[in-house]
Parts: sequence; structure tokens; C-alpha cells
Amino acid sequence: MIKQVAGLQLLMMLMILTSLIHGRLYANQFSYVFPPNISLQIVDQIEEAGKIRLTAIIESRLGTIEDLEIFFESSKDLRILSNASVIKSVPQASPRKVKILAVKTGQKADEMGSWLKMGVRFTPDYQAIKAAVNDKQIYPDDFERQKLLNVVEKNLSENARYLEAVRHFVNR
Amino acid sequence: MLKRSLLLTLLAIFSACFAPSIWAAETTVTTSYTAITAFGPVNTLQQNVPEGEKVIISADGQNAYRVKTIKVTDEAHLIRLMGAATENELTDLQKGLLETYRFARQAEFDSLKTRIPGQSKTIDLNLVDITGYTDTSRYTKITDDFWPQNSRTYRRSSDGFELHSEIRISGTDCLGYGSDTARSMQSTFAHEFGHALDKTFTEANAYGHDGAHYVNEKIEPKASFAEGFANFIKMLFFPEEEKEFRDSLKTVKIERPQGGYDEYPIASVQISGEGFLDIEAINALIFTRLAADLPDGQKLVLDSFEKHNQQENRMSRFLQNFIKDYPQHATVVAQTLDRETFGRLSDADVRLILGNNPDVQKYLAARSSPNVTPPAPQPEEKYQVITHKNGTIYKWKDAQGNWQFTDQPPPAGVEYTTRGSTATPGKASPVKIENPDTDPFIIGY
Repeated sequence: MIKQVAGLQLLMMLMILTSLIHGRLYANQFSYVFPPNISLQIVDQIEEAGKIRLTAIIESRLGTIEDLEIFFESSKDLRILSNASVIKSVPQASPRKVKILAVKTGQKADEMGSWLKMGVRFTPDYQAIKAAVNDKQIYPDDFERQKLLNVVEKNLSENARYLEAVRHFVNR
Repeated sequence: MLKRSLLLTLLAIFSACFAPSIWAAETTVTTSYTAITAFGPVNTLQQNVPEGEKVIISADGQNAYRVKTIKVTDEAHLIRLMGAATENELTDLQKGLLETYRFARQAEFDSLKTRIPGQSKTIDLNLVDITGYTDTSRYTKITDDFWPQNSRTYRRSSDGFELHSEIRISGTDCLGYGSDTARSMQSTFAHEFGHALDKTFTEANAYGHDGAHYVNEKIEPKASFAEGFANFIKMLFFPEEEKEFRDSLKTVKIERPQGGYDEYPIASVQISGEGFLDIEAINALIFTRLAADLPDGQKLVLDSFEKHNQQENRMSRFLQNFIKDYPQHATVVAQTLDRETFGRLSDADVRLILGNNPDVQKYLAARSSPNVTPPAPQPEEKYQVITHKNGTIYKWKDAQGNWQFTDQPPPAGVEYTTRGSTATPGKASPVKIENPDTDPFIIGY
């Protein structure tokens, strides 16, 4: 009897499993993406006496990025003491470091956990982007390359500001 | 004890088989938000994974991401989850996630949502936030790891298969798009939503060696139909993209079995007959023009698609069904097919694709009549071969204006046409150049 019931259960579980099949995934639609403009990293977390010290590194990946506005956000359990700041420009291969100091507030972290975020609003180097995208070795397909160039021109005509950020989750 | 476990098993079966009918009335998009909380070597990240998080191994096989996923309750909740007090502090990609969330809820989608096949009309939308990981020079596989997709599960039910879609939107296809990011991400969502309406079960290896596809690539028939339909749904919301699809069709790409592409003018002998319908951009334009050119065309196209939606979908089948459903529109269907395939289909090809309909016959008779304006001639085309393929023959003019035929590309900057020595499997046969002046391969040069 035990064997029969166990066998029946196994059979039924198999039926359930075989009734679910994964459909074939649609493939990726090919499209080029731009080379990165900026790299943001938060490193060197040091925690002592309720304070958290971090270092953020801002690097330009393409030409000289300009008029950087730096601001911070955090979960409720942390308060960032570092002030929002402005950097006139960051040339390529000249990384800038930003010190971040945060203190614990005693409140609970939010749903996402305990985190702090550094946002950077900046103007990318549009000419450097255009030059990079015009490289036919890296972007050989005329049609797809032109799509990127159209996007650059649109952003350039609007003098669009870009916004990137890095979010650091504490104690990981 | 045994009775209890048997009962639990039966309950599980009941849930698996009949739960969809309980949800039948709901037509919803449930949204979740996923953030990357850490990145590093697989071995490190797999240890002590915090509760509520999971590890995703990168395509490089060496590294992994820890991610946390939370169900989104409303717009304000999503903004908070993204770590901002207001929209102004969101990154370009995060704004794209927010706009996609809004877009998926707009009224224009409601009528489409009712067309999701099966009884369970729910779609899971997963918004993946890659904030901090957009530097592709450091996170080299981020685009592969989180490229937008619609992953689908079929569930067997009494009337066939239930289809469940999970759409992932991350913005990895729009990196560096600046102010155009949000619009592009919405457009991607609309495309993936199109897949959620479609039961097509694409062929194995439908997309070729690289597993990716261009809009003007020749792929397998069912895959090109599915992608064409998804692009049509996208163009319902972004009609301005029709021009892009048309522009892409100056050439067609054919992927080699071992990888890499050859590119030919659309009118080349590499594509013929129903092979034109293996190009998703052509299918997208056929759907789009039928919807735009016929009275109430959008509804007619969607109704017919929904009525005959099945795993073996392909464009020729759709068009034949469409003519059966709306015989009064057979002429427009024939015109549309003819126009969107550049007038390159023979009468026999058109009959094969559309079936033997009297109005189609009349159209064919009229198009071959000298009193009727024939389909527009092909615009002048230029050949471009992305990379050299052994056996390719290049035709070009030298500085003195003499035609040259070589098995190596001409000097840089010289325009040329090519022909491969091997044919596309099952479509075109190799043709020897007997007389260069009358070679049918030389088109619009």
C-alpha cells in the first residue's frame, strides 16, 4: 500500500513537471550600445563607532566630462554628512576621489537594506562620443552605427545632461 | 500521514491545472524591481547570501551578481526602491524603468492585454536596475547578463498550452542614450509585450550562430514572423520607427553557419520567393501597412492574428488566414505583400504565399498588364560585405573604368558588388558568371 501511494505520488509529480515546459527564448535584437562615458565606484568601506567612511572614484571613460554635480542619497538608517559638490571637469585618465562620511541614525533600514548612493549629473564629451561611434572597426554596421549617431545628435542639440549613479550596499 | 500527503499532492495538481481559470478575469501586469547589491567572484558571492537575495552567475562564468527583487506596489514605491526621493534624482536608466512602468499601465495597452493567449492573462514585468554597473569596460558582460527579454513558460492545459511571459527590462540595450533612454526602453517593452501576445514556437537555432538577430537579417520563418509581429506592436506605439525599418531594408544580412555576416542588396538573388518573409523587418512592415491602410485595419490584423494564433505561425499562413477572414481585402493584401517585397515576387510566389484567391489573381493579372503601373523600381543599391568570405567574387571598376572580377576585396574606398560562391541553403543555387554584362546578379549598380 505504501509503495503504491508513493508510486502514485511520484507519477503525479512527474505529470506536473512535464506539464510545464519552457518556451524557446526569443533571441536578442542586435543593437549597438555607446561606449561608457563615466565610471563610478565606491570602495574602501571603513566602519568605526557608528560612522562609515567610504571613497568614491569618478573617472571619465571618454574625453572630458564637464560640470559634474555630485549628490548623495541613503537609506533611512544612514545619514550622509558629505555635502553635494560640483566639479568643473574630469578629463580621461584623471580620476577624482570623493570622500564620503555617513553616520548611523538608529532607524531601520528600508526594504532594499542599508545603502548609500552617489549620483553624478554631467555633460558628456559629445565630440568624443561621435568620434568613438564613427570608428568603423568597432561599429562596422552602417545602419546600426547611424542610429547611434542620430541619438548623439539629438542629445547634443538638446545639450542633454546625463545622470549616472553608484549605489553601495553596506556590510557586504 | 499517507492520506495527508496524497491530499497535498492532489492539491498541487489541482493548483497547477486549474488555477489559471481562477485568474481568468484578471488582465494584469505585475511588476517587480531588481537591484544588484553586489558583484564579485562566484565563490565569494555564493557564500552567506543575505535572506531575500539570490546569486546570478555572469556569462563570463567567473563572476556573479547578488540581486534583490521586490514587488512594486505603485509609482512612489518604485522611486523609493530605486533610492531616490524624487524623479529628479533618478539616473537616465532609472527614469527609463519608471517610464516603462508608467507606459505598461497606460490605457492603450488595455485592449491589447485582453489578447494575451490563454486563460491566465498576467504578465510579469521585471525592472532590473543596473545602476553602478553601466561601465561596460569594467563589467564586460553586463549587457549579456541583463539584456531585455521575454522569457516564456508554456503550461499544458485542457485546450492546448497556457503561455506565461516574464518581461525583463534593464536598459542595457540603451546604454549612453541620455535623454532618449526612456523612450527607447518603452519601445523595447512594447516589442517584448508583442511577444507575450504570440504563441509562435520558434525553430531550434532560428537566429543563427550568434543567437542574435538584426531587423534586416534572414532568419527562420517562424522566428522572423514572431519578431516581425513584436515590431509591429512596437510601431503601434512608436509609428515613427517605421522609417527605421524601411531604411534597414536597403540590404539584407545573411549569417554564415560558422558566424559572421554577409550583406547583400535586398534585391539580390540570395533572397527569393517566400525567403523574403524570413526577414523580420519585411514582416513588421506588412503587418504595419495592413493595419494602417485598411479601414479599422489595426483591429482586423489583431483579430485575425488572435483567431489563428498558434505555435506554427508564419507570415504566409497569417496572410492566407487574413484573406479567408476578410476576403474583401485580398487585393490590398496582395498589394501590400508585393510592395513590401519590392515587387520581387513572381506570380507563382504570390499565389504560393497568399493562396488561390480570385482577387489575388486579378491583382496579378493587372500588375503584369502594360496599362498598369508596375511596382516601383528598386532604388539604386550598393553592396557591402562586412567581412571577407572565402569564395566571394568581387566586381568593381578600376581607375580606368574597366570592370574587374577578383577573389579579394578591391582597394579601400572603391565601391564593389559581390557574390558568394555558395548558396543560401535551400534557396538559391550557385550561379557562374558567364557574361558579366548580362549577369542577373548585377542589380542596380
